[in-house]
Amino acid sequence: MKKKLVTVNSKEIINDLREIDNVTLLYPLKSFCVGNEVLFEIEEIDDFVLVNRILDDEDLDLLKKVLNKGKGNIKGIVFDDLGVLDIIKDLNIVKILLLDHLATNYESINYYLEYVDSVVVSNDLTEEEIKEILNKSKKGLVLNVFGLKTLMYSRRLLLTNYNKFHNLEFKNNEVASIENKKFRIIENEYGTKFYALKYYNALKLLELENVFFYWYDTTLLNKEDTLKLIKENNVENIECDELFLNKATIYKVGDIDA
Amino acid sequence: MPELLAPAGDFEKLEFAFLYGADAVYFGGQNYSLRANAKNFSNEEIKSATQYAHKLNKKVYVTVNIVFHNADLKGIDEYLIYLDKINVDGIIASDILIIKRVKKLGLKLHLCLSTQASVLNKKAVDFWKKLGVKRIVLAREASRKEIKLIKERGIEVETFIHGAMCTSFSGKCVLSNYMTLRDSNRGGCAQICRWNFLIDGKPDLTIMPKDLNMLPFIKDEIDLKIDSFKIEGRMRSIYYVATVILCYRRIIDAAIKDELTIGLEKYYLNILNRCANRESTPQFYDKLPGVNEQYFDGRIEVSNQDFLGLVIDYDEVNKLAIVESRNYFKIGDEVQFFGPDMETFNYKINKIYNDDFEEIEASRHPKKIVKIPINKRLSKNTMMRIKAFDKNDFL
Repeated sequence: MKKKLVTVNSKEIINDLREIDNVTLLYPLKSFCVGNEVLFEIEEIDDFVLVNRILDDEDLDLLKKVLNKGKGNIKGIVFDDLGVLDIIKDLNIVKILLLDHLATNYESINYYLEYVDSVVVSNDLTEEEIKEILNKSKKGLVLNVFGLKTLMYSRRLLLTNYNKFHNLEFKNNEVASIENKKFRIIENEYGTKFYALKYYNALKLLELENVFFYWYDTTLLNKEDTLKLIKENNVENIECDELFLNKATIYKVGDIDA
Repeated sequence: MPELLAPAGDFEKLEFAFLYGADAVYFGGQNYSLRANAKNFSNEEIKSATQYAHKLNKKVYVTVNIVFHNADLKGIDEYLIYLDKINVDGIIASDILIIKRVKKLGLKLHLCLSTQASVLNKKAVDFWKKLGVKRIVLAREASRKEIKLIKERGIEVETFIHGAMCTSFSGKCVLSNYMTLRDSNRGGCAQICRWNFLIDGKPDLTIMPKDLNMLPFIKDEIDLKIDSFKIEGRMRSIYYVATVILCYRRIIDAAIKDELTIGLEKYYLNILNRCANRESTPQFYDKLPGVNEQYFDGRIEVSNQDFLGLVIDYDEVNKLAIVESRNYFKIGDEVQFFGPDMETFNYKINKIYNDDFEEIEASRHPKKIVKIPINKRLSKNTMMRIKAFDKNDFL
């Protein structure tokens, strides 16, 4: 199994990525993703497919048709909504569950592994928590080692509403801030995602074991930086942050004083 | 008849919720619950609450709905066994491990899947149903069409009908973690979605939704045979709980009898919005929320002092309501009394006595006990508020 799972962030980069050893390509699927500016039709996909939004029944029916169209070309799927499990049960592809903020302990992950080949470990965790999960997981897991950190996913069209209210021309991919924290905001017709502006850098976890894939989510990175990252793990031109890797979140508000 | 499910941040709120018409309440224990900032219930209090509810033929649901980290797993079996033993009517969980452990331990707990799981389709419902989930608390983003399809799946469906909304899908937000290290999925949400975001050269970006109210669609949801109508707000006051529960009790009862008029809806909507200090809309039920379903001027809540007092007794001999003051009121004020066993009525205060039976001009201090002459017998725990709306104006 190839170890690096790389989100495809432009059509122009595909051939370059294919030339790199050990790389599996992950294509955000058009109509089924939120937070990706570059999306792909099923006919363009010859590796793994990303379905990262919450779906209703109509969406699932449509997704089933779309995936059937891609039968033979698609090698795997990374998906968020548990409803997808049923429509892919007969497809002979690798199934990876992306629960974003909800895959935060080894026991739950092990339960989900009864249904899928692998689960993406949440990147809301400390390094120690991630290590414990990997140690106690009954299958190899997908470890997000680099990428835009999703902070919030809304079904609302937050930028559209904002621009409409203030009578401004629509601009996607806005950068906003609160105090010293910065955010990147991407919207499409299915909703809005808020990311941390700095990329999540967990490359120091690359040596960990029991990993199915090291996921490099290169969303919105330019070609040069993407290739440097994938080829050499070089992030010298990219603003990065380890986020929660060395900062535990607090269980209860009361714990602030404890 | 759908269950009217109220939030209970503590035992007092639970008592008021039941008194004012809730069929069931939900609350958290000291651990494993998503409102860490509410007082929450000790194990002993959960037991007392359950016994109290069952005596009234009502139900309690306990939230065990944090998203667990490795270190949080300690003690969970003992807690689940305890909840089962004291016969709580159900637990609300979001993490698969709770569902699996309940089954593994052979407990009879009625399993409700929290809205944190963001269920919007039948196939996701089937997944959870197979694991033993009996009730789905739908994502607040669910539309009428989606709710209808899910209800056809033969599972209990609980929908939110009133209260604050998250901007995100529940469970799909860690803005609080990022800004403050307070974990939103473990009870520490700092409500960053209610803050202003700066964008260079442009007005501040605000993403705060108005509250949810399903008032115009209550009848429709009853017709869809929704099993439970949930009110949000475990952190809210007894005044909020009493007001909102009483409004919805009367709205549901009127809708069932086909007596809910547009005038009545408007009246209750005014009361509900004023009580929350925020506007409210049906949000996702009938459309994708747009500009009208959000606020764009930052935090606009203005706290009011509508809750004037709580009737703690009635002196039949001297025809006096004994009132524990909550906010300032004075002679000449137009007020309203409301409660579960009476029609709300208007009253102009013409005399106020203190504890020593001396006439006073005003009640100035919270918790001060005063007496107000009133010919109508009032039950304990009737509430007195500023008269802001008169029902007759809406009929």
